[in-house]
Amino acid sequence: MGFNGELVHLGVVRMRAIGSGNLLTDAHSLDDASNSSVLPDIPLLAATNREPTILANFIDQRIQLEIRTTEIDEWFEISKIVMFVRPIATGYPQ
Amino acid sequence: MGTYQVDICVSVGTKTGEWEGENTGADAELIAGINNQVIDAVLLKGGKLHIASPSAVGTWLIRFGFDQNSDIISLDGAPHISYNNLPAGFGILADAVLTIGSRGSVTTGGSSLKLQSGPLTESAALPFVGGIGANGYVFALPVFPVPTMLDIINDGFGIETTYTGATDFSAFYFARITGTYTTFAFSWDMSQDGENAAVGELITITSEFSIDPANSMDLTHVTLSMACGIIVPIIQTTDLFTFLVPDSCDDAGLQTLTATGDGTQFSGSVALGTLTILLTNASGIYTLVPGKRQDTYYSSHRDGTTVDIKIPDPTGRTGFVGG
Repeated sequence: MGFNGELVHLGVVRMRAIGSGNLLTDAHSLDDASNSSVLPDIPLLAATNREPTILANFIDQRIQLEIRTTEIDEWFEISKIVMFVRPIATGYPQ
Repeated sequence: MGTYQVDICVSVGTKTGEWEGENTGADAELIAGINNQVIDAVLLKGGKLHIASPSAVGTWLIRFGFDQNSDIISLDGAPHISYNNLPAGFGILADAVLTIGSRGSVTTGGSSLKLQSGPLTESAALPFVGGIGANGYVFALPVFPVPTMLDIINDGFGIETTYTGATDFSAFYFARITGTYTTFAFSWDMSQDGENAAVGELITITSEFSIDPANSMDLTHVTLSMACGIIVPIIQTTDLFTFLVPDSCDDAGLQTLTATGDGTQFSGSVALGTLTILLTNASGIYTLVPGKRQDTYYSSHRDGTTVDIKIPDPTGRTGFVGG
């Protein structure tokens, strides 16, 4: 599915992540012009067979996912990120 | 709000005449006598304090003192605590009263008694009679200016007796200062609260006392402290307190900055915020170590001391979806 300026809704993020600590995730728009959305944290494990699903509810034309850790000795390795989006509008009103 | 009672003296100050406790005039007996809350009505034993000279005629004075470290203050009937352990924000209202119990035999019509708070502050002459009991004599402390608990502790109290009969005597006991207290809540702002700091860095505390004195901390009546070193103010006004992180705090790690009231606005201590004090001169050669999860700083003192610092928020961002 291609996009051409439609507003898209980010509903779910799924990723393959290992590490230690908590992985903080946020959704951002272009230039962070609209309010970013803080998504649920992902508790990290050094070894896991699960790809956690994070529920989101963010709408914009362009959406970027940010991931980070904030405490000393925390680390993460991410090998896959899947962002589930769906167009919901053709564009912003004039 | 609650009630307080300061009822345990710890020292004897000025005295004239031959004051006597249970058996002798030793200071320890005088203190025990004035602190005792009960007294034998007939024999005046069980703790007393009175003039013991063969002729009591004359004017006699004795003063007693408190201190900040002894457990002498009871709040709401609870076990005694010291002035230094009063809860943060503690302050007394303008209703402090000195009460002293008395029993004995005093000639009326000529004898008088005055109670003192500070050495220059005393009551009017009170009618001096014998056998009054635990609530014998009462002196409402002056309220211009309103005394603080620190004033009460520093001033102590005194008894000045005037006997006109040679055989007059009165035993004094159960001296206490009582009143109402409240706990004040004041606001402030610490600019670097929760952040890293280095030796020599300027730390700033601000308040809005000049525009909102009822709800803001008066920074002129506090002493700031951290466990790692002595804090010397550069600027200290009602609304601004600045200081440099002292050299002794180099590499001290997490420190809590505490403000201790001097009793004018509040007593006790309150935590203003925290600082994480790092090694100074920590820059140098940066070595990448595979799998290492933190930065390690080596002390400029070259003594092998190290401290681990977190790598600032490792962050990744995806490309933009959509468009």
